[in-house]
Amino acid sequence: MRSGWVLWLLVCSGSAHAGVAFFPGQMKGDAFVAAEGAAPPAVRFATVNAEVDGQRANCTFEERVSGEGAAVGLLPLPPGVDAESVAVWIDGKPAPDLGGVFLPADAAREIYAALAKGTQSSVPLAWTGRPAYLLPAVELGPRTVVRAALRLAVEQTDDLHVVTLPMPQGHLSARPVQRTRVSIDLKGQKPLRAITSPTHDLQVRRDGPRAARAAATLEGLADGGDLQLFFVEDDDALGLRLLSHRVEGDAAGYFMLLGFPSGDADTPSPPKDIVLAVDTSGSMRGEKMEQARAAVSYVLDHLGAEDRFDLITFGTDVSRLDAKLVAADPAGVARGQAFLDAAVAHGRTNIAEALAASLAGQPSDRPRMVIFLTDGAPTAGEMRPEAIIEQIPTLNTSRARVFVMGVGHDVHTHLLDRIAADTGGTTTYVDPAEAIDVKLAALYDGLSHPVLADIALAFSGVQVDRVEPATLPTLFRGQELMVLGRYTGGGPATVTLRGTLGGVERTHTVTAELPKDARAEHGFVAALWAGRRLGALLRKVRLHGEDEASVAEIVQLSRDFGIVTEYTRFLADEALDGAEAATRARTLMREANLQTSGVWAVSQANNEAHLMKKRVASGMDNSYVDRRGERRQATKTKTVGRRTFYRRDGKWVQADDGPKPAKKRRVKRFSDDYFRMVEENPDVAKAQQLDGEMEMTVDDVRVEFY
Amino acid sequence: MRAHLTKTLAAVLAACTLTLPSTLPAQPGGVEELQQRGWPQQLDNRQRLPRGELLNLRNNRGLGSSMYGQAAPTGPLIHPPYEGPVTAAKVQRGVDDALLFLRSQQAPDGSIGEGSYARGGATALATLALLAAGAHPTADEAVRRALSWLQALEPDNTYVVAIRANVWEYALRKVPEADAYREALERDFQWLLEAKNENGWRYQKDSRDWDNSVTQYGVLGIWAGMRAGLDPGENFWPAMSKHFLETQNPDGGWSYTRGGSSANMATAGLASMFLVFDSFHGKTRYRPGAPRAVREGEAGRALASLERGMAWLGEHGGDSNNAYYLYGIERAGVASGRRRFGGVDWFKEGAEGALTAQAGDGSIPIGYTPVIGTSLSTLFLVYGGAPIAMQKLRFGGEAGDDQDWNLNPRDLANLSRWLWSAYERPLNWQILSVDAPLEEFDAPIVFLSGSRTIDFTDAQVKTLRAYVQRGGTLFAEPAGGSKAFRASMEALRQKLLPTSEGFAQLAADHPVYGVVKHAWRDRPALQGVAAGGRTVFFLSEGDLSGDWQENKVEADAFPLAMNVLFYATDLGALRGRFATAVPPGPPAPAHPTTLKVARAKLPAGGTLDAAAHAWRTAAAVARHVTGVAVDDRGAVALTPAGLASLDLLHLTGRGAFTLDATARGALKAFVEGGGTVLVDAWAGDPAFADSAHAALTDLFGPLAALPVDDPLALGPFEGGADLAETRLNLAARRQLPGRPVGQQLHVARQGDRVAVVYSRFDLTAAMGDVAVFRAAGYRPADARAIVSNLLGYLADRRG
Repeated sequence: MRSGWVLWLLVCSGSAHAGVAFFPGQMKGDAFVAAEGAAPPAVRFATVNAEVDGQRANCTFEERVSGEGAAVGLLPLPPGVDAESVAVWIDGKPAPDLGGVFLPADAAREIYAALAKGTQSSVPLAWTGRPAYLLPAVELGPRTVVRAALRLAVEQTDDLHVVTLPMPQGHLSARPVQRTRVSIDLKGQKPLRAITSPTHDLQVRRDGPRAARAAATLEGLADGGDLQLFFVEDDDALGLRLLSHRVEGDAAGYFMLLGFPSGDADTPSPPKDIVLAVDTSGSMRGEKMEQARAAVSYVLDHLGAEDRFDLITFGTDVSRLDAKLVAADPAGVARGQAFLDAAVAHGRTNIAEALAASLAGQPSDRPRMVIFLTDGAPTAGEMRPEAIIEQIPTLNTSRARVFVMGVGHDVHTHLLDRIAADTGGTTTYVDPAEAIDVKLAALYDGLSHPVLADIALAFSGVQVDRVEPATLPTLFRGQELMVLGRYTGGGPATVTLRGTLGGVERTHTVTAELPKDARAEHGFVAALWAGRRLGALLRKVRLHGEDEASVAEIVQLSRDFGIVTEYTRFLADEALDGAEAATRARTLMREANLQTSGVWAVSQANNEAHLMKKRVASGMDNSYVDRRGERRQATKTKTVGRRTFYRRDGKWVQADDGPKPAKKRRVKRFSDDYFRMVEENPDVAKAQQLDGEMEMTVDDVRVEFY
Repeated sequence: MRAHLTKTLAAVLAACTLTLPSTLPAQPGGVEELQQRGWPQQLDNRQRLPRGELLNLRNNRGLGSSMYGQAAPTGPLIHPPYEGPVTAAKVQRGVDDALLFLRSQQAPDGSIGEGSYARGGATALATLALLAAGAHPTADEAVRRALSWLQALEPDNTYVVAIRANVWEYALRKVPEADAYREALERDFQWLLEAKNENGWRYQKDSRDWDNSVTQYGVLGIWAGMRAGLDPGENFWPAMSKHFLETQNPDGGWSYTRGGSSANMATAGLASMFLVFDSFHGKTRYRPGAPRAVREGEAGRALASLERGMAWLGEHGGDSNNAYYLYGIERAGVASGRRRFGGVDWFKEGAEGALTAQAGDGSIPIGYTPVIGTSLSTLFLVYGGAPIAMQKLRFGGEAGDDQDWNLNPRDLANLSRWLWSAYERPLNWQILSVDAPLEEFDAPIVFLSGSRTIDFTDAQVKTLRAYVQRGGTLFAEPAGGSKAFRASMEALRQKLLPTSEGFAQLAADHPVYGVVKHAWRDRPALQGVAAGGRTVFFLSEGDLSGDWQENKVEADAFPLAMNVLFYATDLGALRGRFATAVPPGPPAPAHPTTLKVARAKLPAGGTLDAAAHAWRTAAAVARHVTGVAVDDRGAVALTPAGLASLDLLHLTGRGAFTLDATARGALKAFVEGGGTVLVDAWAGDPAFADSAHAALTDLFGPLAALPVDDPLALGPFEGGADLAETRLNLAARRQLPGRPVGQQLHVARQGDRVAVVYSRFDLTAAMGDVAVFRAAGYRPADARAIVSNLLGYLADRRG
């Protein structure tokens, strides 16, 4: 019975009020009596839709639940929700007709305790302090449909709007929720700037300056955490915001700078130069070559009238459309199409010469971008990756940025990533199952409208370090600015951003109070910083070789923030000290770094890139792609707030790199002492979402809940 | 056979104390070789076995895991236990994990799994396995290090030098300009020539002795050099021919040196004789004036030797738990084009053996060491499991005994090797009896060649017709320009596709000439017959197989074959052996609903039979993923009676059409009565799509794009897919601005339910894996996902 309540994943920030939870059994007086032998119900599918403006969110929530027999249903609600703001239906019947009742937080606390005792699961206790909607007697069937309508307040913090929406109780479901569709329509009184969720990976589609839809289809949801969405309304063309988080006693706090350069970006972008270098070696023959042709055709069709371009094809030899850039007028585009049509996939892969041709040229005022598409490693001309890399600064007379598309798994990932990194571009890997033309069209659509370039940041009022990204790239249309870092000191802090927006030099500033001591809010800021820092360090080690400090920091970040990586996966299983852990991580990294080509090599590059762009701090995004190309989700690592727990010997143990507190205490779960601690200490209450036996540090005492 | 070997092994173990010799010989010959070397007597001067090895020895599952046993997994546990049957996906997984194991065994100096004896052998084999499976010699740092280590090695063992020569040759295929590899190959090639005595090879260079195990590897090494352009001299192949003919036992098998035949040595002899034949005897092509030239004299003796060797193997079989044997049977099987020896599918049996033995760390410890066993098994799985590009049809008489189907016996063997290089991945060929069951027609192209009149039986025609309907392509050639055979092909065409108009000369702009661009010397003339929007039957006007037989790679016949292959597969997509449309994973629980499905007989069409096949595949997939069963009612008339009691009606076809009043009334009543209609244009045919759209709009009003969050698109039921991830093929994507991802369906509703689903892009051909060149449609798995969703949606609504 209890196994059905096992939590799978971490919950961000401990705000664990979510969709309707069903507990097989019934209320008898104030007690909950679990049904003997009843299987936990399964939430199979869910949809969450919301219409949100600056003040409120109207949310509808539907779940398809598969269960059997009598159950108690509970919908935990955000603080502040009243009886008028919630309505529930079961199979189309209004919940009040089934005895449904709204419970304020105090009354709900008793139900949480009753459910915890009755199920011998601590999960309901994590909702302590929240109101709830109780369905005391629900008859579940194989296809029970639960609907809820909620009217929620949109919170304001740091001049941002925050909306918190319930999600299905994946962690209480008999199996992960097969599919959950989330769709949030945002409307702003002012232009919408940054829109970001630290809990779920949402795709944002903007519909004009004041409307947007943030949506996601989540497969296999095994989490129970809410969805949080932050958004900014601002007339300013960037809408900068500065968020912070700090743990008491820590030497440094964390900040996040957010912005979205739209508005002025709608004006036509300045002319640009595009060079398309396409691998036409023998291995491209067939479908890949035709997809590449279609991809380049797409780019040619979408060039601006003032743009210039060149086409380079390379096999053993290198051919180019013209010795100089060609105007993207109809005649030029037609020439390009004819050149492309005549290309024959043949020969080997002369990356060195093709790269040299792509980079050569005089610098100009126009941004010059090279899209370099290859499916192989150098097999003609200069074949030594290190020699090719060494030549890049000399060859890049045009000051081009190279955006590499590596097709398939036969590419040399170290070489491609260095080409991109050393020229300020990016690498995109195209899986064999993916379409080159689709990926390249998406890449080009982004690159085609550079909106914020030459970005420089200046901080005053605080000292900052370990800012990620260390070098700010040009932002293209649709991209948000997200900068994370650490700070020391505190007080009023000002960030000044200088850049070229829509071709015009601009300065934007934002001022915020960065706490000197503790600030519990926005824990995700620290987690996102840690993820991005981790990604940058892993890339540094892979591409430039290991150093002791980097490896130690990788281990430290992974342990402190519960972020699982391929090289620190052992942390969950073994209690190693820092030096031992670093040695182990170094061994794993050395083995992995030998892989410069193949699935494993591409997985590593993608893992780093994903971390470096990390936007989701919850357990929804705590995984890596392994040597086989399969995603490995963290199941033995969870974080609650800023605490990381590892599952060891059937018990959740709070990670602690340093010496454990001398004072120890053992508390029996579901005893009076236990309930008292849960009620008195919000951190203990939040941690109960982990369920089962646990060891954690509470006020300098190591407490074991057994 | 296996029982005998296991017994022998038991005898060896019984004589063995807890220790083994400090210098363990590389023993690819297995127990036979141990007996030759008197191993039980040699087990005195010993070192202790590593801990746990004795237990492994006693627990081993067969001879292959013999001498060192199965080592405990050393890497991370990545590989799940194998459960049959063999599928392409399971083979690929096995290979992937085996490679990860080999990588995990690499030492910092670049070597892989080396012991003290035959230094270099394990690294060379592992590197060869990595290269064969697609690793790149310069891009892959692990391989680069292994190659560097091998380059610096001064081996003195024929096995090592020969395998290393193959490594260099393979690396040169990827990087022909790498002088270092070429020089290394030349050195090894020369070493092998110098090490060969008048009969063959032994381990050491100065040996006057020989054995067939070492000699076959010596031959492999020389063959590798020849592929890279090195010349062993004119006497080499005649000498090897003489050797393997003379050492063949009267029963058709071969032995280690002398004595009874064994499976390992039979594969050694066979694989070597095929190399001998292809390098020496097989240069003679069929000519009408000398029809049996290739079967007479020395060549005839060699062919007869091969036949006797294969017969021995068929009768006796081998041990598929022995990696040495697997690598041998793979080379014999691939070279011969035989699917079976003695009624046993050698790849299927061997793959079962290797995959069953695969450990959790990915190793396949059925060789002398886990690394050697894994390497040899990987080579078996990669080469043996490679897609079959073409099958050569055996016809005439009971078993094609007159060989008229096989006038150039090595034509497809040479062609597939060339395609392998051109494709940059292993490809195979196979001989296929015209009387074989339909499921064995598993290549995209079936090749027919002959010089005489051939009359196919009704049953044979039926099989060939079904093959074509399932997407297969026939490619025929009148050997030596035979008019009789050409007439036979026309007769076959009439039986096969009676409504077609006969062979027509293909124009220069037919895609088969341009799918891959070539500078044709003299563009080969082809005739063709079209059906279902594609040319399904090619008939060459000139002789092709002779050029393939002679390995005249500069001739147009080679690129022409490539182009036919790329056309027939719509740009070259090939499936590995035992590929299946049903996705991996356990089947969904059975849904209580069975849906009655039928296809409409339409004025346009001609694709009903192909659609029936497509539905068989799609229904099997839907059953697996959604649990919903399909009761296929076949083809029905668009009348009230035809549509009575159906749940889902499928309309597909080609060409414009209009519906008469009866059909319109029946369709409307069907939908209004609760039925659902699925409509798609076969191969994305625009005329059909336009006609269907007009008819549906007229009957049911404007069709609307299916929203991404509609239950049909979102799949909120068992096995339902999120169609937002659905992918179209390139031809369809080209028709859509912005390169969208996701379904492009349009629907009409009755109340809140989707009652009509319309796709102007192909679903049906894709559902059945019929590749129609540049047809706009969904990818096969995505087409099946759409149909599965529709079935799941209908069943879900029914409850």
